[in-house]
Amino acid sequence: MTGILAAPAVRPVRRARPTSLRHRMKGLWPWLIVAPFLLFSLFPIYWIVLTAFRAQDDIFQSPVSLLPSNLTLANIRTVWFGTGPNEPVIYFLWTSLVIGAAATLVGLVLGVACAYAVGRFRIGGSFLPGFILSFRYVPAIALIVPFWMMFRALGLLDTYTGLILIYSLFSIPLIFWLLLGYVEASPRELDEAAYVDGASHWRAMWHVSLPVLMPGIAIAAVFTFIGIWNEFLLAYQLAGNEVTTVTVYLPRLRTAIAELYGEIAAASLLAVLPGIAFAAVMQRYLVRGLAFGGLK
Amino acid sequence: MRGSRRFAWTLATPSLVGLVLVSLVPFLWMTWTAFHTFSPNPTIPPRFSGLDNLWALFADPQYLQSIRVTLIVLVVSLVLKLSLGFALAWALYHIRRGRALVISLLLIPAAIAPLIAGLVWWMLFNTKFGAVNAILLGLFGIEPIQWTVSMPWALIAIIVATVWQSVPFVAVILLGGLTTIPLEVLDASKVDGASRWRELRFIVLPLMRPFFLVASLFMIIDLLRLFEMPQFLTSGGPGNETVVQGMYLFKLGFTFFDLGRASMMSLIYILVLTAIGLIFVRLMRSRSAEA
Amino acid sequence: MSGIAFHGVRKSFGAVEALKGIDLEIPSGTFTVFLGPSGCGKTTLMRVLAGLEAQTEGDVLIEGRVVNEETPAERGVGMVFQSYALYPHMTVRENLGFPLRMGDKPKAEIAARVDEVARVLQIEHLLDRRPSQLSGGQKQRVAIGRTVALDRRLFLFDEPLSNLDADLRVEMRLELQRLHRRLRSTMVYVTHDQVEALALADLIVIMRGGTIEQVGAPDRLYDDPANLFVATFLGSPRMNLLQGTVEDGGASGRIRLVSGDAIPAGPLPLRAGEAVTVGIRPEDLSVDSGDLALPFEPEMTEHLGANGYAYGRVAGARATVQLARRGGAFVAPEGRVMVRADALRLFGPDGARLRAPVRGREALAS
Repeated sequence: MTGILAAPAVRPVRRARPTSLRHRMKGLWPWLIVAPFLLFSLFPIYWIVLTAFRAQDDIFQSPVSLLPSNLTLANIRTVWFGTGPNEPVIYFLWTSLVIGAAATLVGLVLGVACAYAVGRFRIGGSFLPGFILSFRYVPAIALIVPFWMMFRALGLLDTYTGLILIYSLFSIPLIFWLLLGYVEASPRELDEAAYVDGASHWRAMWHVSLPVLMPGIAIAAVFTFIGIWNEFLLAYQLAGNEVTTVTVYLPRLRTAIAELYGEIAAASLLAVLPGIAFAAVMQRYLVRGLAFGGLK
Repeated sequence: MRGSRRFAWTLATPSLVGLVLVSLVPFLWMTWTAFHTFSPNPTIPPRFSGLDNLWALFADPQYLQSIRVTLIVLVVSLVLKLSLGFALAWALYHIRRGRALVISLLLIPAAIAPLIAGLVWWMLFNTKFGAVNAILLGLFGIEPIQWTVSMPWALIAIIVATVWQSVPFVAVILLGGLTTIPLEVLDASKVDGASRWRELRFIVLPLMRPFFLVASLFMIIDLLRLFEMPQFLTSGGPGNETVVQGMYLFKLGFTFFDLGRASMMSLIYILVLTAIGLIFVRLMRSRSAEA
Repeated sequence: MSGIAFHGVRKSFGAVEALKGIDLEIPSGTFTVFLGPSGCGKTTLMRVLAGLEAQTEGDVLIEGRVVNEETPAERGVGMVFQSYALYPHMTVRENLGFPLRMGDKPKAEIAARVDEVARVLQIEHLLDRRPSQLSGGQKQRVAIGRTVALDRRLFLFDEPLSNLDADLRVEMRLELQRLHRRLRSTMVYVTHDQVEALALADLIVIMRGGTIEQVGAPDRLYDDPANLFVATFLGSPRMNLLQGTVEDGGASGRIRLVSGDAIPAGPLPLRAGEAVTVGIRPEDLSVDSGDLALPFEPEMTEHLGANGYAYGRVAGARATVQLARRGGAFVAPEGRVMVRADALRLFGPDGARLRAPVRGREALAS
């Protein structure tokens, strides 16, 4: 059976479909769903920003206007630099920063080492990883009472040391979970090549493996820091006087006398900035982290 | 290489010791406390009371109330989060350009402190000065609702706030799941005559089961843990009608100083979490045997 | 007109034009192969035919009817995918029955049909297994089974054998031929493997860069290629190519090869001095039989059991000579090779084939 090429251009060529409105509509429908979600997600953030920059009169109108008008820096000034009974929020941001950074650092040292040990050398068999991972779901709220008693006994209440200690220990399971996948994915041969070149275990880990694990460490650092930055319960119950994080400070702006909406918004604005920065990072690595952590 | 095991254990031991210290020791102490009764007078030592604390909890209307509230919030929120999360994931799946940016923006609520979420929605839901009532009045002509001080509105407010925080996270998990479905399988279903809805129902959703399970697990754990957000949104009001179990636990321990009952409550909480974890492990395993 | 037709079909993905105006008619009942290197547009053309992609311009017709707006199911198309695309969460039985289920057939009918298909393809013992428990060849059969479960007008195969081992591939090729003979339906098959194409096709459509280079029966394409691309794409080992220029395009014309050797040529539609490529298939070069002789410098020989090849230079150009056996042993040429005049294929400077007879039985002339 032989085929033949049809004689070209005998029939007029018809457009298969109009590339105009109908075609465009087909590609547009996902945005019809996403747009409301975007609006919903971002409106409260917009509200924080708006309220932070709003004058008292505009904040307390009924019904309240949704659009900006009559903007002022008064609230910002109040919370940043403090007036009267209110301390500058900057001070508490600093406390959160110090504690967050220190605890993240300690947590990383402990957690990465542990993940490296288990992932590379397979100690503890199949029991150990599961054991460590199970600590992820221990709720701080369930253990808050014994913690408080322990801290009191050890004189750790209301100290930087105490919070840093407990935060770093609590962050170990998450760091372990995130890094384990990265360790298992990085080639064992790199370390072995280093051993052959005469490196000790420590040097091989430090010079060879850790650089390769950097992306994972970075993600773990970001996740851990944000978790500590946003934490309330432990910072509230185990500290709160000398050592006050920004999250603990915020509710104090709600006094019985006046609802300091503007100040709360201005302070919240500063407190959510790391979160917003984090969201950008989160997007890229969330799926990856989940994939590595496995559907455990 | 020689000494590898010793090296590894050196690396791991500090973490293990730390974990035991911060989890196991308090847990054991708490277990002991749960079976003792404490008197407000610090000079009187605690006495062993068996399961008395447990019966006391079951007889405590506030405890039962908190459990009931928690369950309502849990079930409604979970359903909303999974369904809205899937709708969002499905839409995101079909978007190519700008997907990363959109997801980053959507994830902002998930990245802010639950406490701040509570505060923001407290402001938004304010009867007189809140944006929610302003929008309802302006767009739909609905009279202002007293959100945080009346039922069922206070519950709805909590549900809205927690859905706001979590839906994008669920969507990201489910989106990851959608991308694991081979495109040719979807093509094959088209060739086999499946309409959009049937493709969803018979091909996409069944293949998404493990991801729904993972998302559900995360959501349930988070929902049981709710504390700051509802605390600062409704303060438990009106009255005690929106006190979730996390809030009541805190009250028992630090407002009433009833360590015995608080510990028993914590114990129950941990047991429930463990049970849920085990159930999910079982559920996931049964599917992965087939996949 | 029944069968399949493409009229002026174009397809662009953004700035990239994957199909640049395809006009093609395929008679019904044939086994047609879309053949070409990766990126030539063969898979895109098939997907447009299936209805999985919408063409940017032009019409697709099945059995005389324009089907541009129809879904794959409405077009009556069945497709076997390169990765088999079996539904991983369903048993084999459920996979086979799925198209019937989507067609809302009654349960009893579905069950009966599934059993029948399973019997014909010899996969009855696999009915309760899941795809992850099947071997490559078994998945292949299930994929085919799912496609034939419904009565379809058209069967499409997207490189279905590329993921199989060599012997399995040969076996499955025969299966497909048997299938075609039994069903007598129109089948379109995409591959980059010219051996598969030559073996299976009634009709081959060779494509490159979004256009059709040539359409025809395998033998015809092999013996009578329309251009250099077709000539070198089909046939393994590749056709030998000798470069030269036209010395005289007239009746007693000549082609002067780069090596200096001359080949007598008849009337050519070229002027003197224009470049010409002379193609000779390895099997047409012989130790002793032919009209023309060309110098041969041997480099190496390979004896590969059934076939043998000599590698070296023919008239200065790198070439392969297929060896024949004499008295049980391979005989390799030394010093020169012979070729029959009518085995020469001439191509002009643009690669197009010059269909002119080469005359004469002249021996080597310098």
